[in-house]
Formats: sequence, structure tokens, C-alpha cells
Amino acid sequence: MREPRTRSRLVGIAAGLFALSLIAAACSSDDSGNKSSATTEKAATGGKTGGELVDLGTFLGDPPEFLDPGLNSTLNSYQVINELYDGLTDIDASDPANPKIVPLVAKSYEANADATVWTFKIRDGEQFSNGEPVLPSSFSRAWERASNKDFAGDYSYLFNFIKGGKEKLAGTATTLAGVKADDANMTLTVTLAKPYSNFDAVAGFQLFFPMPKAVDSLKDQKEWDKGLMIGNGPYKLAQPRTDTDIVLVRNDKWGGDVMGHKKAILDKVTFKVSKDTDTAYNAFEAGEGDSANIPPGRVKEADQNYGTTLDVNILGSYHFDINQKDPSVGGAKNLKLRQAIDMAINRSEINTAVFNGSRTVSTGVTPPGIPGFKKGLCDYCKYDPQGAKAAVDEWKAAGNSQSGPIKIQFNQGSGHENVVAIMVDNLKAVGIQAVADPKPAETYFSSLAKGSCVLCRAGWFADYPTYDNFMYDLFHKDAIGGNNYSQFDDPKFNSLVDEAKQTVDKAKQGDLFNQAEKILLNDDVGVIPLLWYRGAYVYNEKKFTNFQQTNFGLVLWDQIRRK
Amino acid sequence: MTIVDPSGISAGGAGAETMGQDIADLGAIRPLRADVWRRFKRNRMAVASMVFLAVLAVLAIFAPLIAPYGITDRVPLFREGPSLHHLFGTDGIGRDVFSRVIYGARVSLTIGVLAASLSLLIGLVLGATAGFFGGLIDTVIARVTDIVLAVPYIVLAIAIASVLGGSERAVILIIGLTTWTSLTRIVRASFLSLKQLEYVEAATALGFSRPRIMFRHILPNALQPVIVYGTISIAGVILTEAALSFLGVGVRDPTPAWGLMIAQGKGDLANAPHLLLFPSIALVLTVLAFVFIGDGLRDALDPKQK
Amino acid sequence: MPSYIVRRVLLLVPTVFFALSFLFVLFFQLPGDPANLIAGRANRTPDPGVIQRARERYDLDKPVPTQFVNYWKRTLRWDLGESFADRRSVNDILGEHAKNSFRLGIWAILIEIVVGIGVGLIAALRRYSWSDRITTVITAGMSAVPVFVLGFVLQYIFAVYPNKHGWPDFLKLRTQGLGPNTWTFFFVPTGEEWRYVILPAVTLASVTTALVARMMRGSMLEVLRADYMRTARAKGLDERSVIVKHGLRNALIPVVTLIGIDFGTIIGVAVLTETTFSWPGLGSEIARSVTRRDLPVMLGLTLSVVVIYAVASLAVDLSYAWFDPRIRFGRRGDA
Repeated sequence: MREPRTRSRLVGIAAGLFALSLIAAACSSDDSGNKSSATTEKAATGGKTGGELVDLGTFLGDPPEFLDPGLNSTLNSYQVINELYDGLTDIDASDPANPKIVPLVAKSYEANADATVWTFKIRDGEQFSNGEPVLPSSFSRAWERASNKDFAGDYSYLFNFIKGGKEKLAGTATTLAGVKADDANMTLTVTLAKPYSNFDAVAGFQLFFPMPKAVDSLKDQKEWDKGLMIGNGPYKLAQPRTDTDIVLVRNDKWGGDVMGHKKAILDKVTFKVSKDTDTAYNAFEAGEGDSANIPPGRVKEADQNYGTTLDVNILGSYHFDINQKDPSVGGAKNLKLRQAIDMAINRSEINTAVFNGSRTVSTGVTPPGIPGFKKGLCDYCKYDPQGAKAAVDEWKAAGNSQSGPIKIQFNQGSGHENVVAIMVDNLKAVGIQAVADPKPAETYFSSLAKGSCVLCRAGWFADYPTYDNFMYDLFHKDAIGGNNYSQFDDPKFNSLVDEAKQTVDKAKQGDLFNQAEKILLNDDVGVIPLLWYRGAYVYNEKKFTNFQQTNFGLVLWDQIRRK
Repeated sequence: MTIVDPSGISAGGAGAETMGQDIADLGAIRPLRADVWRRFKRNRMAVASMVFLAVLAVLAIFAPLIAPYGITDRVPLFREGPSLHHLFGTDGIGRDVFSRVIYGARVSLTIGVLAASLSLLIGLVLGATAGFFGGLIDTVIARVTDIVLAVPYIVLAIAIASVLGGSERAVILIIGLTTWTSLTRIVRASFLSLKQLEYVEAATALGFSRPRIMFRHILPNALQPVIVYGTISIAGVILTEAALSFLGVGVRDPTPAWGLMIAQGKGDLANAPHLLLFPSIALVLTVLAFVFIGDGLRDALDPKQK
Repeated sequence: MPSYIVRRVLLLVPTVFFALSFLFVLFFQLPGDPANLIAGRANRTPDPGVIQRARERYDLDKPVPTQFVNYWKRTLRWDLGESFADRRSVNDILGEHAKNSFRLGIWAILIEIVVGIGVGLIAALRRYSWSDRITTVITAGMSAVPVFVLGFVLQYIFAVYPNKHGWPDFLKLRTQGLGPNTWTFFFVPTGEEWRYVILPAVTLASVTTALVARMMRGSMLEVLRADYMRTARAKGLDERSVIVKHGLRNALIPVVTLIGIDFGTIIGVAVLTETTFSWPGLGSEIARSVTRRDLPVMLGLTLSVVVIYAVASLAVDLSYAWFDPRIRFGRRGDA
């Protein structure tokens, strides 16, 4: 839990340029990269404060589009934004099996009985990097800003959760009706449009980060992103961002995090933009940076020579949706075929060949680390060619046959070709004809949304750590035409998910979601899960220690220390 | 503006005119076919290149018989170096690199020859028309050429690729439709000069129709730089295919184009160099072969040499 | 001559207009809804409200001809618009990237001129010697290796290998990025900057240098045999002044043409090198803008590339007057 900030000044230790590498005893890097209690400041394994780190692995290919939390929709920009701002809540994953949502800038919060009204008490003494106090109005200001029709970004639809949000986004209202900021009592009251028991997780999302008064005097809100944004996180911008560099320096006014850390350890973190993963890795090996992303194919070598975050489970799923309305694979009559497909795929081979073992074989869609996760929900996800052949025979015996090979769709140019090649081989081995059907990347998702999926590559990274972010956003009937490329619409599933979203008891909620997922995976086979993501950062362990990645994919830059 | 142009004969103002003057000399004396071949044979590099290309063509045509594996056949050996069973090793998902390089000859040669031919055809037609008719037609064609030249190559390539997808046919069209500008100028220049030659005047005086003059009298002489340039441009096409694959708008997996294999293997220099090395060598040798043959042709056809 | 220049500049206007208009129309023929791509960059199906707002913000809901007119009205005011992707002013993007492209390009061209012409000249003068044969092979080889392969190999040799084997820092070169971005006189790197410029510049120059060397050699050889050279020698001039005063100038004409064209290529389309070395120049930015359907960036940067190329082309053509006194402008009317 978070302790109140002390007023002591921090003595800045100017480390200046790169530390000389000391050959220290091999630092046993903490396993799993989650915030285990062994990594709180008290028990940290020696090392110095101060210093600088140059990262080459966060921005690959493109400079960040937006650093403004009100506009951003990419995970890599989130890495930076997360260091610049703190939100109402945060995730405490010190017990990786039981991640919890805990208050951060909020001192405490509670929901009413039916989870429609949420009351957040804001901590006293929190400041922005310019000394301005963080108040409930800092949040309402930010939320009004981000829901403004002319400014709103890709995630603005999240304001639909809040009462009056839809109207504000449409332009028919001028403020968010459900948001009340009471600065005198340091209370922020949020009324939701519908009951939703996981709103505390959503409230910690970047879209809801606070903003200082300075944004009110901007002529054009998008200028904020280009200048020296003021935030309340462990770091602040040292200079306006450029196309090649984003430079962060320590923010001395930071309030600390949920683990008890009070200040960022490194003085400066520089994020460099690389245009190509292989170039970035080359530069890392050449010593021009301290951390990078591991290109597929170099996983083993990276693991042997450097420190990596390969053992961190990332909240992302790599799966193939299977269209329930398609005559060749969907519907009750093709259930055995879908089970066969599930059993025929050698997930382990895909993991080894294409990803060098850097991912985890799935046993369901929702990944480990989501509250409520249960291992082994999928009955058909184990590699079982005999079982698959038997299922195919049963399917054929019922009078079915293939009128043509099953088309496996995927977006070109992102490395899925090899996965599909292996899938085609696997299916052929059990008697199912399939063929790869690459689609142009630009129109891929929009054409899937219109219903063109047969067996199509999909994937999902959690926006916020909730079970419904996977079950509802991907497979509920409300998501048909959106991200539900399987056109999955099972009434029992829908009602279980609806009920779970309103269930306040977390244990009961998890149970309901498990039941729903079992229906999805086993009774209907609405999706073919393949792999779960793992961390892919590599870092120079001779120079740095305590390089951790949360299972959100966020690196805890403020806790890295030099050796 | 092209991405790669190893011929060195590119569009330009006075440069093309200079070439035109050389071509005008040609109109007077054309070396005999036998002489051409004799002179060509003296150029050892050119002859060696012809042999190499002949071998390559055989490999390309008989690939299914020569290659030990298919291009999508997989074995459970990932990223293995060269061995007895796999002369060039295996790639990331277990495909035999040697077989893929052999099939790649087919792909690269096909793309090279067809794209260069398309480019040549367009260039010839436009250049001949511009040079022969002159006047307004010439100006219009010159302006259109300028506009196509003005648009950055990448933009055209990516735009066409997104409309046509990523197949061999698309790549041939992309390269063919965007690289005819140099040839147009060369052909035009030579037509301009040749138009003035005496025997053309004679033919006109004799009453031959204009198309007939164009085709039967001027064209054969104008062909010399075209042959040379055309041969060398195949080299450029092969390199451009590699560049397009690197940018992600070339052919797609599993087509074993050398350029694509190189682009995919570029990060493996340190730990699996065979993935990069063998397709690169194949590509470089083929490109060089075309360049040397083109050079040899130029020297052999040049009337000023003895 | 002045009228020639004026005519060339005026000619630029319709070229630019038609080129950009062509691109504008082409953009809307590309598959995919631009608003969808603007909004859905998180690799998912965007919320319909988000798409609609994106559409309105960028006038994408208006008919194409209206957008076309609006685009030109804005461009004539030199307001190149706002990037669809990150809402930055295209003028700013252009400024930054053009500077970087120039700096890299100038060095590549210097290498091309000095090394290319020098090597070609020497090879021509020492024809059939072993140095000639070696340079022939090397230049042929250099022009045949794909640029990005060369880039990676150089990166490995000069940066990765030294670092892995613990060489001292002053021996290592850098593989990516702009570096400290410190320059004097706009393009002379100061401090550590040269370590960042050298590998990309060499890679970018590699193919063109090889070609220039070959062309120079061929051209010089021709010139050396020409009649007027024999005349000059017969007049009793020493070999050296014969070469320099008479031969070199003529030999340089086609070479200068080549360099002029390369100028446009190097600055505008150096995508491969820029991507390999993460050098933030115009070429890679243009490529990215097409893939992301970022119309304002695509058009704005293309405009500058067209202008730069035209200026370089004009400069090259004007230089012919110096090289070859026979060439005069005014009688020959074509561009």
C-alpha cells in the first residue's frame, strides 16, 4: 500500500554520462518480473542511484504518435506516458496469481451497492512536477478535455462508461454529467451509465490521467503533446519530444507508487526511435543502447548473453477467430470439425519454430495475470492428432465434407506467414485441407469486422486488466461488427458475461467468467487459442539491474538501477 | 528517380543528346553480326557471364527436377547451418534453403526479364513516337515523363502494391510501369538524331510512308543502345525487387524470391549467416552477370573500336 | 541563359501541379477507408464514433473534388496541413526531415564525386593495369550488392564486432540514429556526430559511387581517344594539360548528368539507407506516409522532393555550359 509522502528533499546525484561498466558478480535477475516484495527499495540488491539509460526497444519503426494520454492508443507510447503520469488506481501484481487493483493517486475508493456510483478520495499533498497540487478537479479537467468532440482520440469511446459520456462525445452535451469534482473535500464522484463492477480498473487507464491547469490556457489542445507536458509521475520531460528522442528526467515532486518506492532511481531515461528491429538490436549489441527488443530468431542468443524479460507473462493473447456463421466452419454441424482443428495444431512447434520459444502455449484465451484466470479451461487445445483425426471422421460420418480448402486469413507483413504455414501442414496431417489467405494489412481488420473471417488471425492485448476486456470486447454479441470477428453469439455466454460484469464479489465474478469462457472454448469452439505473449525486452545486465516488466508490458523504468 | 539503376544510363538533359550523337555515328557504319560476336567473345567476363546465366536458366527451368525439396516442405530442423542433407542449411521454419535458392532463380529471372521487357516496351513506344513525330506529341510525352519522374518511386511502388497485392505479377507491373523513363529519353534522342540522316531523307523523298520509315530504317539502328540498356536494366530490376521486399511491398512468403529471402535474413548475420549469405551471393552474381554482358555488348557493338 | 532559367522554373509549376494532383487522386483509389486507418491504428476495429470524428476532423466526409480544391487553396498559402497520424504540422515535419536528408545527402554526394571521379579517372589513365582490373571488379561488385545488405554488414564490422570484443571506444562507429545532431556550417559534423554520419553516408554513396567510377572511366577512355585530343598532343602540349584542359571537361559531362540525377535520388528516396540506419530523413517518412494513408504528409514531402530534384536538375544542366562550350542555351528548346 502507498505511504504518505515525506517532505524530505532528495539529493540529486548527478551521474552525468554513461556509467563505466563494472564487472559485478552476476546479478541474479528477479524472476517473473512482477512486482514481488523482494524488489522493494529496502531489499534491493545493492547498486547505485542515479545514472542514465538509453532504450532502443520501445519505439520500433515509428516515432510515438501521441504522448498525450488523452489521445494515445499504442502500448509503446504508454511506456513513456506511464512514467509521466499517475492515475487514480494501479495494479498490484506482487502476487502474480492474484493481481489486484489498488488506489494510487486516490487514497481510497468505493462503489455503491450496484456499482453505478464510484467515490474516489484523492490523496492529500500530491503535486504535479511544477508544484501545482493534484486535486479532484485535475481529473475532471482532464476528462472533460479528453471527451471533447474535436479533440477526442481513439480510446474516447471509454467515456461511454460514464453517464453523459455518450452525449458529450456526440456534442449534444457540454460537460460529463456523471462526473463531480469536490476540491474542498478532495472527493471525485463518478456516476456510470450502466452498472460495471470493474470500473476501478478502467479508472487507472491512461485516458483518465489528471491534467494541470496549464491545459486550460492552450489555444489548441494538441499543442500539449508537442511541448513540455506537466505530469505527476516519477519522471518528467526534459525537452519537447523530437522524431528521434524522448528524454525523461526525474520528477522530484513525485508521490511514490503502490510498492513503497518514493523516487525514480535513474536520473535520466532516453528513448530512441529505431526504424527496424534488427538495426536496433545491432545498435544494442554495438553498445549504443542499454535495452532493446529481441527480434524473433535471436531469442536464444539474447537469453544466453544478456538479461531479458522473457519470463514475464504479458496480458496478450494470440489466437485465431473462427467464424460461427461461415458455412464451411461455423454452426453446430461443424462443431466436430472445429474441435479437430483445435486438436490438430501443434502449438509447441509454432512456438519453437516461429517465436524461438519466447511465447507460452495457450490453454484458453484469457491470459494468466488477469484476475479470475484459471489454467486449462480449453479441453481441445492440447496437441492430439489422433483425437483430431477421430473428430474429423465423426464429422464426415455425419454427412459433412469440405467443399474447398479452409481459408486461413491473416494480415500481411507482420510475420504471421510462418505460423499459418505450420498450421496448414498440421491440418493436412489430419486430413483437413487448408490454404493461407493473406490479406493487405490496411484493410484487414475492417474487412473482418464486416464478416469476412473464416479462420482469421486475431490477437488482443488487454487495455486494462479485467476478464471482461477479453470476454466482452471480443466475444459478446454487442461486439459483433466490432472486434467480435467470430460473430460469436451464444445466449448463455452473453448472459453469463453480463452478470459477471455487475458482480461485485471478485471470486464469484471470476467463476462466472470461467464458466463463460468454457462455453466459448469447448461447447462452441468459437476461437482457436494459440499462444500467450511474453516479455521481449533485452537489456545490458552488466550495467543495469532490476529491469522489470509488468504483465501489462510496461517496463518499470523508474526502478532500474545501475550496478 | 529510381531506387537502383546500375546501368548508369539514366535520364538527363545533355547526356542523352551526347549519346544521341554517338548513335548518329552508328547510322553510318554498323558492324557486321559476325564481327559483333567475335568482339564479344574477346571479353572474358562477358563470356563467363553468359555461361553463368545459361546455367542459371537451366536451374530455373528444371528446378523441380534439381531441387531436393519443395519450397514449402518443412523438416523439424530450424535454422540449421549447411549439412549433407541441406547444402545451404534450413530456415526459420525448417525449409531447405538450397531448394529455395534454386526456385528463386526462377522467380528472380522471371521478374527480371518480364519487368525489364515491359519497361522496354513502354519506353520504346513512347520514345519512338516522341522522337519521330516531334512537335506537340513530343512535348506532351516529355511532360508526362517529367511528372512520372517527379513522383517519388516509393510512393508509386507502395501505392500500386496496395492495390494489386503482393504477387510476382504485381511486382512485375510495379517495376515495369515505373522504370521506363530513362529508356524513353534514350530512344527519343536516337530517333531525333537518326531522323536527320541522309538515307532517311532519301527514303522520304522516295515516298515511303512515315511508319515504314520509322520501323524499317530508324528502329534497327536505334536498337543498339536499347539492347545494351535493356540487358543491364534486368540487373536493376532484380535489385529493385530486393529493395521492394525489404520495404515490405515485394513478393510474399512463401515465394522464394532472393530479395525476399535476403530481406528476411538480414538480422541473422550474426547467428545464422547462411540465411543471408547464399541468396545474397546468388543475387550479386546474377546482377553482375547481366551488367558484364551489357558492357560486353556495348563494347562489341561500338563501331569505333577495332 | 536567363530566359532559359526562367523557362525551366515556369515549367516546374505545371509539373508540380499535375504530379501532386495525380497523387491526390491516386490516394483515394487506394483500398481502405482513410478515416478507418487513422482511427484504428491500435490494430483493432475502432469505435464508430471515433471514426466519424476522425472523418470530420480531416474533411474526409466531404466529396473528393471539394477536398481537392481545399487542399490546393491551403497549399498555395504554404500551409501543408496536419498529419493524419499524429496531427503535427507537415511544415514542421518537412523542416526536420529535410535538414536530416540534406546533411546525409551532401556527404554521400561528396563521397560520390571525390571517390567516384577519382577512381574512374585513375582507372582510365592506367588502363589494363592491375589497379584498373581490381577497381573494375570492386566497382561492379559494389553496384550489385543490395544497399541494405551492405549497411548491415558495415554495421556488424564497424560497430557490433568491436563492441563484442571490447575494442576501445574511439575505434567504434555508430549504427543508428542522428547522434548528438551537432553541426557547424549546417553540414559539417562536430564532436561525435561524424561517427553517426559516416556509415550511412558510405552506404548511401556505395552504389552511385561505383557507377560514377565506371562511367568516368568509360567516358575518359573515349575522350582520350578522341580526335581533338590527338590534335592537342600534336600541338605539343604536355600530357597533363592535355588531359586536364581538354579531356577532363568533356569526360565529365555524362558523369555530371549522373550525379545530378543521383542528387534527387539521394535526398528524396534514400529509404533503404534511412531505414537501415534509423536516419530520420525524407525518404523513409514518405514511404511511411503512403503505408499509413497519411495524405498531407505524403503530398507535402513529395512537393519538396520534386522541387529539390528540379533545382538540382537545373543546376546540372546549367553546368553543361561550363563543361562544353559548344552547348548553348536558347537554340535547343527542350528540357
